Amino acid sequence: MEAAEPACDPVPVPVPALTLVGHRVRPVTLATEQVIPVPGPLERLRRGSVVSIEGAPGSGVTSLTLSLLAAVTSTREWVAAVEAEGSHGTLSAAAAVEAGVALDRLAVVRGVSTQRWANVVAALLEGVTLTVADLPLGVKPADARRLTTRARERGAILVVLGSWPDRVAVRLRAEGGPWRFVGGRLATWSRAVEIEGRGRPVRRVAVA
Amino acid sequence: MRTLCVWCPDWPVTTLRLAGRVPAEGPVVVMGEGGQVHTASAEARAEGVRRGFRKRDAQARCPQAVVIDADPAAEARAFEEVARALEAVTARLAIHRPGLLSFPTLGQVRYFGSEIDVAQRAWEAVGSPLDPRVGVAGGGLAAFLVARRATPVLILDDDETARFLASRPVTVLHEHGLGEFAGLLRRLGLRTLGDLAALPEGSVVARFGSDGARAHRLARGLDEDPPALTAPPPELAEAGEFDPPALQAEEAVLVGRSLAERLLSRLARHGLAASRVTVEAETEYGERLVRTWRFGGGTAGEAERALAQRVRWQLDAWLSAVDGPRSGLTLLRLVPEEVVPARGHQLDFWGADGRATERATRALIRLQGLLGHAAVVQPVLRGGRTPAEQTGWAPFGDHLPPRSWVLCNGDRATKNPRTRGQSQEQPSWPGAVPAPSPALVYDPALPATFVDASGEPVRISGRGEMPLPPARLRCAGLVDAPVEGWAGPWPHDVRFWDRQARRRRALFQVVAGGVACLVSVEAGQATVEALYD
Repeated sequence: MEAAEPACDPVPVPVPALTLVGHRVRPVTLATEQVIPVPGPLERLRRGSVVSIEGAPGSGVTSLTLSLLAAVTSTREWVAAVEAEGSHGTLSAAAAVEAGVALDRLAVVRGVSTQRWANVVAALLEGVTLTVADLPLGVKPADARRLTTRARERGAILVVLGSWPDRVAVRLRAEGGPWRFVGGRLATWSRAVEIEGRGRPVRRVAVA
Repeated sequence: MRTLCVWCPDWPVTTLRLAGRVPAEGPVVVMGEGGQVHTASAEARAEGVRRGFRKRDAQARCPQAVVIDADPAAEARAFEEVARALEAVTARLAIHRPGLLSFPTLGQVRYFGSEIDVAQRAWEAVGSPLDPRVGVAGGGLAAFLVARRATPVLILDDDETARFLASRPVTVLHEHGLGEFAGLLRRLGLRTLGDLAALPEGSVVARFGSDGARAHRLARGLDEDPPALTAPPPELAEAGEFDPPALQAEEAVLVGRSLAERLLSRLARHGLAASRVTVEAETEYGERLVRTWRFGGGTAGEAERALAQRVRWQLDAWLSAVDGPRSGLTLLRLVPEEVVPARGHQLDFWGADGRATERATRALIRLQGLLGHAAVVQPVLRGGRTPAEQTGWAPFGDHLPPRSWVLCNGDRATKNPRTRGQSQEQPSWPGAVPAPSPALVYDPALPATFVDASGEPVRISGRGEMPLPPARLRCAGLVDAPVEGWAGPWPHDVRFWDRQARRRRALFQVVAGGVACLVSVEAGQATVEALYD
C-alpha cells in the first residue's frame, strides 16, 4: 500500500490572486506596537533599543529593573534575566511578584561565563521581548555593537546593568533615596533616577 | 489497519537492571520529571506505588525500594538493540517511545503465513529475558492495549477488537496525549470508549473540535489519521552534513536539533505536521543507519521538542553502541514518513500570547541545549521566612510546583489539580519579615560585622532579647556605617524538632549608610542576606 502510486505533491497550490495581493500590501505597523508603555517617568520602552542602568548597590537598580520587567510581562510578553558568573546577587521571587512581574513569563539564565555571555544574550534576544543582563567585565566593544544590532533587528529590548561600551537609547542612573522606618515598617519614597537620552537633556526625576 | 505492537513492561526499570545500576530483584522506583514517580517495578507496584506519586509518598508505601532518577537516553540506547533485533521481522517498525514500538502486519502476514507466525517471530526476536508482550489488533491504540493484556502474545480479530475497545475506560486516551480530554469525558459521564464511539461523530467534532475528532477515531478502533497512501515528496526531507565527520553524539545532536526545527517549520508553512519521521545517517565508510520514530502532536513548540528529543536519543543510541558504526557520521537526514494536515492550535483570546510563548520557548530550549538543562530556570514563589527560602528555581520546561508551595497543607494543594498552580491562599509564616521584600538576594549570604554600642557582636538571647541595640554594620563592598535605623529581631527556631538540623537565627532590617539590608545573626555571626535595592 505504500509507494505503489507515484509520489504526488500534497501541498495545495496557493490561490495566485491572493498571493499577488499579499505581495502588494505592505504590513502596517502602528506606532503603539513599537513601544511598550512603562509606568513612571520613563514613560515608554522602544522595541529594538538598548537601555543601560547604572548605580551603586542599594541605590535601586534592581527595583528599577523589576519595574521594567513588570511592564513587559503585563503585555503578556516574555522576559529573561542573565546572571553573570560570580555575581552573588540574584532576583528575589517575592520582590518580583510585589513589583508586578508575572513569574511564569520570566526565565533566568544563571552562572553565565564571560566567554559565553554574548552568545547567551544573542540567543535570548531572538526569542524574548526584553532581556536584562548583568554586564561582566571585559565585554568587547565589537560584541556590544553586534548585540545592539541584533536587538534592533529583532525588535527586542536589551537592558544592561552597567556601562555599555556602545551607544544606548536611554541611560538610567539610579541614585537612591532615604530609607526610613515609618510606623515600624521599612519604607522609601522619592528615590532619584537620572535619565539621559532620547534627544532630551539629562533630567533627574523621583520615582516612588 | 492491522497493527502489531511490541511492549516491554517497565522498560526504564529493565534498562537500569540490565546496566546493573539497580539490583535485579526487589522493588525499584524510577523518578521522572517534576519529582514524580515515572515507573515502579512490579514489586513496588504490589506495595501500592503508582505512577505520578511524589517521592515521599512512594517511600512511605515502600520504604525498602531503591529510588533512582530516570535516564531516558540510556533507555533509548537499550531499546535500539530491541529495534535492531526486530529488523529481521519487519522493515517498517516505528518506535513510539523507548519500550514501545509497532508496525503494520499486512506485508509480514503475506510473507510469514499468518498473524500468529508474525507475532511469534517478533516475540522470539526480542527474546524472553526482556519479557516482551506482543499484541495484534486493528489500529495502533487497540494493539497497544492488547499488548498490555498479552501473556505474552494476544491476537484479536476486528470484531473482537471493537468489543475489547468498547469496554476500555476513556483514560487510555492518555497514551495519545489526550489525557486532559479524557478527564473532561469522564466528568461528562462518558466512562468507556464504547460510550464515546456510540455518539455521532459529527456532534463530537462540533462540540470538541480536533481533540474530539481524534478521540472518536481512536475509540472506533481506527488510527488517529486515515492511513496516508502516498509517501510525502522527497523535497520535504531535511539533511545536514558533518565536516569533519561527527564521532561524538553531542556534535551530531546540535545539527539534529536544527534539522528538526527546520523540518517542522517547513512543514508548518505548507499547513502540514509530521506524525512519523525517519532518522537516517550515513557514515564515512558508507554505512547507512535508518530508524523511524512516531510521535504525537501538540503545539508546534511541543512537537519540535518531541522530535528533537527522539533525534537525540537515536544519535546517542547509534554512536554509543558497541557494534555501532565504525566511523564518524557524515550525513544526517530527517525524512517525514507520514504527514498529516496540521490541525492548528487555538491561540489565546487576548493578544499574541501563544506566539510569544512559542518564540520564547524555542529560544530557551536552544539555550538549554547549549548550557545544560538546569542552567535556564524560572523563579517560583514558595513559602519561607527569608527571601532566599521564598525563592525557588525550577528548570525551564519542568512541571512547576504549585505556585504557593505549602508545607502544612501541601497535600491538599497538590492533589486537587484544579487549584494547582493558581491557589491564592498564602499561609502565614510566623517570623517572616513583612513587605516590602528586598529585591536583591545574596546567595550565599555576605559575611558582615554587626556590633552594638559596646563594640560586641549583636547576640540574641533564647527569649529573643538583646542587651544593647545594634550600633554599626560593616560588610565588605556594601556598607561600613553606623546604624541609622533598625527593626527586629525576628527570631527563627528552624527545624526545632530535629536535633541535628536545628538552627536558631534572628533577622534584622537595618538602615546604615543610606542602604537598607536584611541582616541575619546566627550563633554570633552576622551575614547580609539581602539588599533593599
